[in-house]
Amino acid sequence: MTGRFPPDAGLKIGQNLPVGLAMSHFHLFDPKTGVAIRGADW
Amino acid sequence: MSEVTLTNVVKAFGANEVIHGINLEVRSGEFVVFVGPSGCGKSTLLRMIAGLEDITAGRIVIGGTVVNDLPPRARDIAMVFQDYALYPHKTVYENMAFGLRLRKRPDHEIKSRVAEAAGILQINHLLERKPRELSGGQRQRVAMGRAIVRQPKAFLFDEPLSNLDALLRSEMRVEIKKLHHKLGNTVVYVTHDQVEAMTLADRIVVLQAGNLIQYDSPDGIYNRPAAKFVAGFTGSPPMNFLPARMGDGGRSIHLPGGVDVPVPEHRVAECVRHIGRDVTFGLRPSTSLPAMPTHRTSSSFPGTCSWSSRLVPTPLAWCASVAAATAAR
Repeated sequence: MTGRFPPDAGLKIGQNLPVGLAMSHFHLFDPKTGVAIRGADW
Repeated sequence: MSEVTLTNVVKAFGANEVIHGINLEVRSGEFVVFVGPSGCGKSTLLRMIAGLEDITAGRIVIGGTVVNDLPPRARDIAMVFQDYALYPHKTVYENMAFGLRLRKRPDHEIKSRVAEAAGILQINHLLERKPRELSGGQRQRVAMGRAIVRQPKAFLFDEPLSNLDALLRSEMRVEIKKLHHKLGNTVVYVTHDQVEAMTLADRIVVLQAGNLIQYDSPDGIYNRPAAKFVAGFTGSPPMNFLPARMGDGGRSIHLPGGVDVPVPEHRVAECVRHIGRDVTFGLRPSTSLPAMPTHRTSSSFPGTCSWSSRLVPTPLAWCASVAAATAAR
């Protein structure tokens, strides 16, 4: 996974990195067709 | 009125069908961008609108006229090409005037239209120069000037900025957007550059292998992608995709490495129909945040930084890859 982090995060390769997911913005896709799985309000 | 309408448009080269029945309408005055990877058919589609390629089946209407059998010069469109296509032995003035001379417009009208277009594009001082004496950006302005003097129903742009360096490209994007605002013509614009598409378009047509995958506003393309292909094509870095399974009650999603993330209440209704199903979970990098102790939630998990990069000049400058597959709650 790739994430954007603030400039002062001072990331180094190999360091532990707790990651939080903004779950209000996730997307779902059908793994076979790639078509988006959407709710009725989309 | 200068709508451009495509109905079931098909293109085949021999037995090889490359455009598979495209339906779309470009509204009068709208700026629509065709975007997609190399070979998706975007330039072929544009060239069919221009009349530079025959269509195998379907119908193309420009400004209320079916143009299937009309030659390019009778379609009342003007095209700007990636390589500018200027006549090297003619001056800027003559290049811009050429199309009007072919149409046998009177001299005073030609002078007036060229002067007006040169004024709009701020190239009045270049009118006596030859193309070889111009920079890439100036040549592209002349190519646009040649299109403007025609006063066409629609402008067609085929990757017009691809030969320019990054700085000039961003400057020309602004110029093109201003020009559209000033003239208000219908524009169909082809690019492989998603940033160009996102910044210029009123609506974007995303093409893949000759199929229209999504036709939507830039906001819709970015925030409500119709397919994984669209989601992966837009945004930099692109969206993260993980194999996942919908959990009990549609209230959680199982990610690799035993990570369960909760589904927020307002998204449960759409998830409940897929309980127990394999899904592809997608999340943009901008919504994968550092889980600082102050705002650690149940949707945070430990990871390991496998690379990082400063994205200049983005204020959020660090980009990190997280080995989620090895993460444990």
